[in-house]
Amino acid sequence: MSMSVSRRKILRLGGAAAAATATYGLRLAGPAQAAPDAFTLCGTWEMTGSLANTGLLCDRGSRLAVETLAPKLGLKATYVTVDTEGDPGKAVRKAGEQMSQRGTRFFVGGASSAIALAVSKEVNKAGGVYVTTGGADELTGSECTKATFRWPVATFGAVEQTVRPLRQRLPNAKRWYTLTPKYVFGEALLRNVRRVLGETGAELVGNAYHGLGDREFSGYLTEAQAARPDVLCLLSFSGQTADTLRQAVDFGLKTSTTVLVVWSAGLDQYRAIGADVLDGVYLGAQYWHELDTPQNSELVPLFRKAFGGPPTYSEISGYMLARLILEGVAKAQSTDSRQVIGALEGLRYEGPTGPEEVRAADHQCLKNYYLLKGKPAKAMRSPDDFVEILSAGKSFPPPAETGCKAI
Amino acid sequence: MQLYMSQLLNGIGLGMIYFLVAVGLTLVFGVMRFVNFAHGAFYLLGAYGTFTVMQVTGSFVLAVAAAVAAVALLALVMERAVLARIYALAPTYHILATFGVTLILEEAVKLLWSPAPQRVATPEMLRGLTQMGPFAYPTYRLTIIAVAALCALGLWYLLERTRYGALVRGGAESREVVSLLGIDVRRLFTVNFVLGAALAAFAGALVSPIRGADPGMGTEALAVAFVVCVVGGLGSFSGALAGALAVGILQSLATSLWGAGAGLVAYIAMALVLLVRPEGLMPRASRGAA
Amino acid sequence: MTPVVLTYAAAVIALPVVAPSVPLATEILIFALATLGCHLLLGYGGLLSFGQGAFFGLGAYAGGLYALYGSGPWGANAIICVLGGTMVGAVAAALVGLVAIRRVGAGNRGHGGAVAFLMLTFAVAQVAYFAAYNMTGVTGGENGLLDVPRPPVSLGGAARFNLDAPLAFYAFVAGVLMLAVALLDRLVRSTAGRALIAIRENEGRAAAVGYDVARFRLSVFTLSGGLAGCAGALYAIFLGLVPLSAIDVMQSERIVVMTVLGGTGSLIGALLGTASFIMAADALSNIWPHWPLVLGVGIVLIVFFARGGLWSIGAGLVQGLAPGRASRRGKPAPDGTIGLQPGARS
Repeated sequence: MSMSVSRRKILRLGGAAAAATATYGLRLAGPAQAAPDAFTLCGTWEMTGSLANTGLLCDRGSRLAVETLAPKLGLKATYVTVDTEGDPGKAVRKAGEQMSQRGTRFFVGGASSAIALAVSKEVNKAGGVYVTTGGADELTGSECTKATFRWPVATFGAVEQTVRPLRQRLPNAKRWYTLTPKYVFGEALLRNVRRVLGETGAELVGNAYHGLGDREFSGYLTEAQAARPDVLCLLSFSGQTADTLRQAVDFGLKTSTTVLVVWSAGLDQYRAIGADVLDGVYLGAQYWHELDTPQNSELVPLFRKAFGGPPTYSEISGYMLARLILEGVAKAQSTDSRQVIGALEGLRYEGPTGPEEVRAADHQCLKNYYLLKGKPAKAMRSPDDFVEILSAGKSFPPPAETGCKAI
Repeated sequence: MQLYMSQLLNGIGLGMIYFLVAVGLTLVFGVMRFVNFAHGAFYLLGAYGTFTVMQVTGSFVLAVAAAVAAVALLALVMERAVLARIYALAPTYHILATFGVTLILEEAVKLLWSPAPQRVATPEMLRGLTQMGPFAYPTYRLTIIAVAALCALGLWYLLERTRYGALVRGGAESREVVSLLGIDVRRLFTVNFVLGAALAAFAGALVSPIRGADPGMGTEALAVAFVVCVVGGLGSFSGALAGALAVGILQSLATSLWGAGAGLVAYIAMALVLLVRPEGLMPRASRGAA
Repeated sequence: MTPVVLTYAAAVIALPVVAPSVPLATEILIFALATLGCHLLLGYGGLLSFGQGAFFGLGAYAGGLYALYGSGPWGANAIICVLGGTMVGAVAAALVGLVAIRRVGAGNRGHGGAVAFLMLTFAVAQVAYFAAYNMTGVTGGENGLLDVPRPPVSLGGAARFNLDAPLAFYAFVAGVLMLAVALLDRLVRSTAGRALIAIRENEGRAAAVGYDVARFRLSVFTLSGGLAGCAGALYAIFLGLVPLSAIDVMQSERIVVMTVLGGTGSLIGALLGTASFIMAADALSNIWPHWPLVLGVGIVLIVFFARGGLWSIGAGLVQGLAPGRASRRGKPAPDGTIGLQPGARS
C-alpha cells in the first residue's frame, strides 16, 4: 500500500517537472526512486506475408528503441515480436494470447491499417496500451479507443502539407487528376484533396479508381492523359506507387504534367523506384533522414551503427512507437496501463521531426509532414540522397472534427 | 476515340504478355493432361533472374537470355525430379504437388532477394515515346508487343509445321499412337514442359522493366493464365492467343468504363464462358472419343 | 460412439492442455469444421474446391452482421448466429454447385471436369473477395467488420450462458464440432456414404448401377459449404471482428492444404491436418519468417510418399506397433484417389 502511495507522489513530481521542461528530460527518475517493474513490450508486426518488407524494418526499429532507450530511462523492458502473418485474424488472436497468458500490456505495430484497427480494439478491450503506425484516419477518428495512440500524420495533414504548398508553388497548375486505390484510405485522401483544391481555386478534372491488387496501370494512365491535367496526383501507397510512377514516366506523363505522390513511404521505397524516375516528382513524406533536428542528428548515427545505413521511415516509425511506450512508463513511473495512458496524453517531447506532442483529445501525435522533391541524378551527393525538402508543417483537424468520441 | 485506340493498344500489350504465360500452361495441359500450379513461379523467377543478371552485367538482352536459360534448366530438373513421379496420379495430386513447389520457390525468392520489390531499369534505347500519327505510345511497350507477336508466330510454326509440333498434337490426341510410332513420350513431355516454363520466364523478364519484380507476381500471373486458358479453351494454342487478347483488351477497356471493377472483369468473363461454353472459345480440334 | 467420435472427443478435451493457449485451441477447432467440409468433398465427392474460403467468409459476414444488428427474440443468441452462418454457406454452395457440378459431368473426359470445377470455384473465391472488398457499407471493406459482440447461448427462457471467457467459448465451439462430427460419422457409414465412395472409386460404374452422381455430389458440396459457413460464423464471434482476410483466396488455399495434410482416409484426418498446420504455423512463424518453405516441402513429400496424409502415416505407425490388429487399410487406387476406407471400422 505505502509503496503505491509513494509512487503516485513521484508521478506527480515527475509529471510537473516534465511539463515544466517540456522536453523529454525524464531522466529525473533517478536510481534513488523506486523504478517501475520490469515489463514486456510486444511488437505485432507483419513479419511474413505481402507486407513483410515493411514489417521487418518496423520491427528492428522497435527493438533498437527498447534495447538502447530503456536502460537510459532506467526501465527494465524486454521486447518480443509477434508475427501477424499479415492477417488481422491472426494478429488479434496472438495479441489476445500475449495479454491473457503473459500479462503483456504494451503493444506497438500496425504496418497494415486493417491489422492496426483490429489490434487496437483487442488491446483496448483488455486494458492495454497500443501505439500504432497505421494510416487509417479511423484509428484516431471514428474508431479511436482509450488505449490507442498513433504516431504518423493522418490523411488530413498529408494532403494539407502537400497539395496546399504545391498550389502555392505552382499557382497556374489548376487542373488536377487523381489516381485513387478503391478503399477507405484512398477515399479519405481523395476527400481531402477535393476539399483543398476547392479552397485553393483549383479543379479536380478527373479521378480514376483502381483496385488494391492492380499492378498494371496503362489503362488508368491513358485515362489520365486524355484529361490533360496540369498535376497528376497519386493517392496510392507502397508497391503500387512505385509501379504507377514508373509506368507514368513510360507514358511521358512526367514531361507533360507535374506528378505528386501524397503518401510516399520514404527511403526504401525511393531505392525501389530509382532516381531517374523520382527526378522532379513531388513527394509527401512522414520522415526523411536528412532532417535537421537535434533528435534526428542522434538517431541517424545510431541506425547507421546498428544497420549500416541511414534509417528508413519504417524503421524510425517502429523506433518511435516503442519510444512513446517507454516515455509513457518512465513518466508515469508505473506499468499500470491507465497511468501510462495518462502520462502519454499531452506528452511533449523532442522527436525526429522536431518538437512533437501527443494530443490528449484523440491520442494523435502532432508532428510535421513534409513535401519533398526528387533530385536529378547529377545533384545527388550520395546514393541515398534522392530528394530535397521543400516545406514542412503540422496540420491536424480540430479534435471536435475527428469523430473520436471514445476518449 | 483516341482514348479507346490507346486502350486497345494497352489491351494488346497486356494480352501478349498473358499469352506468353498462358501458352505454356495450355501446352502442358494439352499434351500431358497436367495442371501446373507452379507455372506462375517460372514467370516470377524470370523477372528476378533478369533483375540480378542486369545488376551484374548491365545488359538487358543478356539478362533476359540468362534468366530464361536458368529457368529452363530449373524446369528440366523439376520435371525429372518431381513431375515424373506423379504423372500417373489423379489431377488433384498434380495440383497439390505443384502448389507445394510454388510455396518453395516463392519463399526462396523472399529468402534470396528479400520480400521488398526490386526495380529493373528500362533498356536505354527503348525509353521514351514513339510517335505514331496523332498519338504517342511508350517505345518499350511497343517492343513487347512486337517481340511477343514474333514469339507467337514462331510457336505457331513450331506446332503446326514441324515434326515436333505434329508429335505434340498427336500426343494430345493419344499417347498410345505416339508411343507406337517409336517416339519416347517421356522426352516429348520434358521438352514440352521446359518450353512452357521458358516462355513464362520470358514473359516475366519482359514485364520486369514495367512493373518491377516482387514475390507476389507469380501467383498473380497464374490466376490470369488460368482465366485465359478457360476463356480460350484449355489445351489449345489458338485458344490461348484469342483468350489472352480478349482478356487483355477487355480489362483495358474496362478501366475506362468501370475503374475499380477492372480486376473483376476477367473473372466474370471466365465464369460466363464456363457457363455458356465450357469448352472455351476456341477449343482444340475435336479429340474424337479420347 | 464410434472410434472416430471417441477420438474427436478425446482430442477436444486434451487440446486446451496440449496447445500453447486456449484461443489457439479454439482456432484449431473452428478451422477443423471448415476442413471437414473440404475433406468430405475431396474424400467422398472426389472434387477439389478452391472456393471454400468464399463460403467461410460468407458465413463469417453473416454471423458478424447478425451479432452486430440482430435484436428482438431472435437476436443475441450464439446458436442462431452459428445456424445462420451455416445456412448462408450451404445456400451459397448449393447455388454454385448447381452450375459447377453439372460441368464436372459435362467435360469429364480426360480429367477436364475436375479441372473445370476447380477453376470455377477459384473464380467464385475471387468474385466473393472482390464483392466483400467493394461493399464497404456492409463488410467494412479492407478495414473489416469491427466491434462484433459475442452473443451468449440462449436456450429460451432464462437459460443464458455467457461465452466471454476463453474456456466457455472453447466449450461452445467444441460442442458444435462434436455435433458435426457425430452427424458426419453417421453419414459416411450410411448407405449414402457408401454410394459416395462407389462414385468416387468408379463414377461410370456407379452411374450405371443407377446412382444419380450429380445429385450426390451437389449434396456433398452443399454440406461442405454449410460446414465452412458454420466455421466462419464462429470465427467472427471468436475474433470480435471479420477481417477481409476471412474471405480471400489464401483462406481457400489454407483449407485445402489442411485437408490434404491430414489426409482424407478418415474424418480424423481433418482434425490432424488442421491442428498440425495451425500449431506448426504458430510455432514456426516466430522462429523463421520463411517457414512456408518447410510447408511446401512437406506438401510435396506427402504427395510423393504419403498420399493418405498424416492420418495414413499415423495409422501405419499404429499398425506397425500392433501387427495383430490389422485395420482395413486399402491400397491407393490406381488413379491416385485416396484409397483409405473412411473410418476405421474395427
